[in-house]
Amino acid sequence: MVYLLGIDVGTSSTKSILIDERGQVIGSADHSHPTSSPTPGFQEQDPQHWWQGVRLTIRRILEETEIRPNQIAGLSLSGQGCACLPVDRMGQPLGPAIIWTDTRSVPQQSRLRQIFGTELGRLTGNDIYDQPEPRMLWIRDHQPDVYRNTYKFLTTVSYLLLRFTGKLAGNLSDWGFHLAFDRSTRSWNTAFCRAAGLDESKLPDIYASYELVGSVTEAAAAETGLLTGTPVVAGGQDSTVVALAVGALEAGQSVVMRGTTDLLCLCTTDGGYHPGLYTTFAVLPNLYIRYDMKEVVAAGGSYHWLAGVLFTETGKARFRAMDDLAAAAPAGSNGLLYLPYLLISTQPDLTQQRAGSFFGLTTTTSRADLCRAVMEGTACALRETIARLAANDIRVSELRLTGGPAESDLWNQITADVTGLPVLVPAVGSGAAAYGAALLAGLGVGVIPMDDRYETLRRLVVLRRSFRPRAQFGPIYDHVYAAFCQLASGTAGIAAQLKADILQAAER
Amino acid sequence: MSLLGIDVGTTGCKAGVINSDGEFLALAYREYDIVRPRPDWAEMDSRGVWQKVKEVITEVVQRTRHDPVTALATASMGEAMTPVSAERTILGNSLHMFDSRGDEYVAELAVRPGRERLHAINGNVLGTPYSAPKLAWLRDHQPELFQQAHCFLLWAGLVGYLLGGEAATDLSLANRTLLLDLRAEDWSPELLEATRLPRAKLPRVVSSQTVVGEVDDRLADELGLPRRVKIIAGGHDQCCNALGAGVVRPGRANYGIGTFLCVAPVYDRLPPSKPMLDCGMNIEHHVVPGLYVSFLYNGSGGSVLRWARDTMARAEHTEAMLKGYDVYDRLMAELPDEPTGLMVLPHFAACGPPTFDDRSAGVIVGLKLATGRGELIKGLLEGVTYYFAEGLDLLGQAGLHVTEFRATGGGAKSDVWLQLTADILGQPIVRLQVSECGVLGAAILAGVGSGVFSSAAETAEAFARITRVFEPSPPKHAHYQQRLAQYKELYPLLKDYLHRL
Repeated sequence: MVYLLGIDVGTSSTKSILIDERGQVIGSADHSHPTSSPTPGFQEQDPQHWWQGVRLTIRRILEETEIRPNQIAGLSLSGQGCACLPVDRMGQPLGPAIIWTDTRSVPQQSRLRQIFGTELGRLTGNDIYDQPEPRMLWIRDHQPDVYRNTYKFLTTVSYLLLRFTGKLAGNLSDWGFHLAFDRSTRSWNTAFCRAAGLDESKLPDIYASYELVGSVTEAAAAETGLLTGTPVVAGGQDSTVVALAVGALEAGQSVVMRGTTDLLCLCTTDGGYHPGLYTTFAVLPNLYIRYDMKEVVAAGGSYHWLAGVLFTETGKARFRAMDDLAAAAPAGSNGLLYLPYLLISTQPDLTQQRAGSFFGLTTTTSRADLCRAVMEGTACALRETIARLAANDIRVSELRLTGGPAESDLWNQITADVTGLPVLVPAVGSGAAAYGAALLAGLGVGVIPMDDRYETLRRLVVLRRSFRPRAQFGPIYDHVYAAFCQLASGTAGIAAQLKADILQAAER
Repeated sequence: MSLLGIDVGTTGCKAGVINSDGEFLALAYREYDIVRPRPDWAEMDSRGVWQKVKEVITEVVQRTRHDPVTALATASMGEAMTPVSAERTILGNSLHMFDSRGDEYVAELAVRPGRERLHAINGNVLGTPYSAPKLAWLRDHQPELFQQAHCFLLWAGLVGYLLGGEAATDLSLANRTLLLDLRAEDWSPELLEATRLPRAKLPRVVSSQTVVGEVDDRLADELGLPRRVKIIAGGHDQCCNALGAGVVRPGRANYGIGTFLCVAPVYDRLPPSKPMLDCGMNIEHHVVPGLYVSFLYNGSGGSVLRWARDTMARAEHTEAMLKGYDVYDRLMAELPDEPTGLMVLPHFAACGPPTFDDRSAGVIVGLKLATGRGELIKGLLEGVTYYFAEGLDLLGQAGLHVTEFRATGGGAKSDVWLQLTADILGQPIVRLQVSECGVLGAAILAGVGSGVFSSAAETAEAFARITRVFEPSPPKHAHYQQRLAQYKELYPLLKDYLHRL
């Protein structure tokens, strides 16, 4: 029996998972790391904390499972995307990592929009979202010494590849999303870099996600307890790795990562530019992942928020109680409709801002109605995303759901009923990204074949449950969805005004 | 000597006895239920309610033997009329304002004489709650009962009649039938003709404070009342409540915070009908001669707070009842000091003026991950208050300006609610010592009618002692004025959607 190690360094914690070649989880460990915000808008992490989490979780797994390091056939990585970490020629960090939630480089984003105008998307393959290039330019503008001394800019996964193998490398799924990478030629976009004033030589070598980058160095082996020479596979940005973990392997299949917010990642064979949509490489060959990030939809965030309003006690029992309540309300929640926009969206156009809202409240609106309306509202938001993709001729054939909300079978069924799509819930729970990284290690080292039409891989993905849309609820949810769309766009003006006030108050 | 005030409401009745200094000597309360023979019907069990009224009278009279009652008057809900015989017996239930019967007659009245003409004569805004359409329904659907009835009486008049007085109604309640001519101060021949209702089935119209008889000896003995207690015409509970709160001068308004929230501004000149009708406002005689009153109301007053309690503080509400503390105190203590980032359309229940929309619904916009229960509740109360701020702006355009509000009802206990109201309305809110303004108002009328007091207004002014004035904060009012402008956009924008939900 051989084993595969997967490591995911997320925004708030690191999770490592060891699986055997049949896909069984043998051991896992978590370690959280802090984010610091020295000034409002700044969001930084210390790369040493990432590495510490990696080291400690691997050591714990090795101790607890008593698997010998020479039984581990390979490891791979998943990580939060879009961090910007400058390192020198020796691979030493020149400062903290500026992570994806940092907003300091808004002026640099604007500058890029100015330079490239409407050509930006066509040139870079994506519109600006939270890619690291504006952060690199911020360093150039504000810390010229650091910029000068920067040998390479790294992301989270790139930094960990460096720590494991000593190589300054990146992978396609992580870097293929970035503005400086040209997906069509799979090389750095010289035209972009030149016009933006970004030194192309400061970007690392790029590998396919399933390619071997190198092997565990002596130093890394000493720190982690792994064997020197253990193969290290390039890995990927977390959402693309989750897509692999849940078995979204071909065009039309999708995963919805339901955390605080929903992120729909759709497999597609088209790697081109679509205005308003975002694209990167999938971790498998000849496949891309496309995102619709027009709205920031609070799914788990909404449920968590409602729990806080409805219950004084804390803990997970509340969520089960809310599921039971929601089950008692009829489809359509007695005319109550919810818009799940509890977070400020990244929409550059403020007038299109949406706001968290309830419509249709009466003195008889019950807790059950509130709970169910939140489930239905988030499902409507998902349906809207799917409709937007359809308007771009991009078809979604099924939804695979992960994250906390996917633990609620009622919510999953409502999601199927509202979207009209089959909803599949993989057995792999909160550790999907680390699990996917372990699968990726298997693909990279050949333990899992890539030339059998992924039949072996598919067998490793176990579904917990699946939900078919129920036709009898179609008409009522069509009605709810129509109202949802009208109210979401109809109240944008008011929402914008309220959010402008909130932003103003925050600035004060 | 002492004075008895009686208040017959929708869910319960009260009796209170005051001395000549306006101090309460006794107070009693009984509850009763609305009868619903069918889901859309709503009746008062008139015999049962009368029984409860006799109980509260007996209770307070027993406790004030040392200071015997010399006169009484009754305040009551509007609209509900009870058929009675010439022998002072009740012949049937009264149809409550929520009862949907009579809609077809409302439609007829909309054609003839029409909403405008009706408002010009009677001062009310045509709608389902009023008595005339329900009487017309009874005439056509229960003709035997209608023929048999000596007349139909509104509750304040009914209590006086059953006690031994003549069959009469004061102007404020007479107005709630839709049949009164506001200026002639008597039943309108034109409106009687339009509704085909016989004048003979209606009581005599008198002004509040008129002596309408004495308590029947046999009944006095039964209730423990002294002989020859004078029966004085009372009035509409909203008006008696305003009187008890000292809302007796132009520019003042009662701000009644109950399940319903009702703002009742008082004025001394009859305004032109059209601008009032345009903002959906009625015109009614106050129970103080020479004054008039309008009602700006919404079913979503205290009921919104109760909804918040039932959804967001369920466990604490149960705990509070067991441990004997007030759950509302705890909730109100959570309200943030600053105005919220929320925008609430408080149409949780059917709206009164100016929209009279019963198909609308409540809306909360602007929720964030960080929005807590306290902010949510404050947002609800802000929305409720915007509703009235908007209505008062319209009244201002019609020429009626309010410069002082007097808070009454359960919500008047809450400091934060009253402060928030002052901040939004930009006018001082006055809190009074007395909480039973309706009973007090009726007792004052009894005193004036029996010659104990010379003037209702002066007496009320003296009795309504102010305990605290909530002054608006200018910066918060300025902020709320901006929000109010946004609020005013909400309903026109969402009306069609809300009707469809």
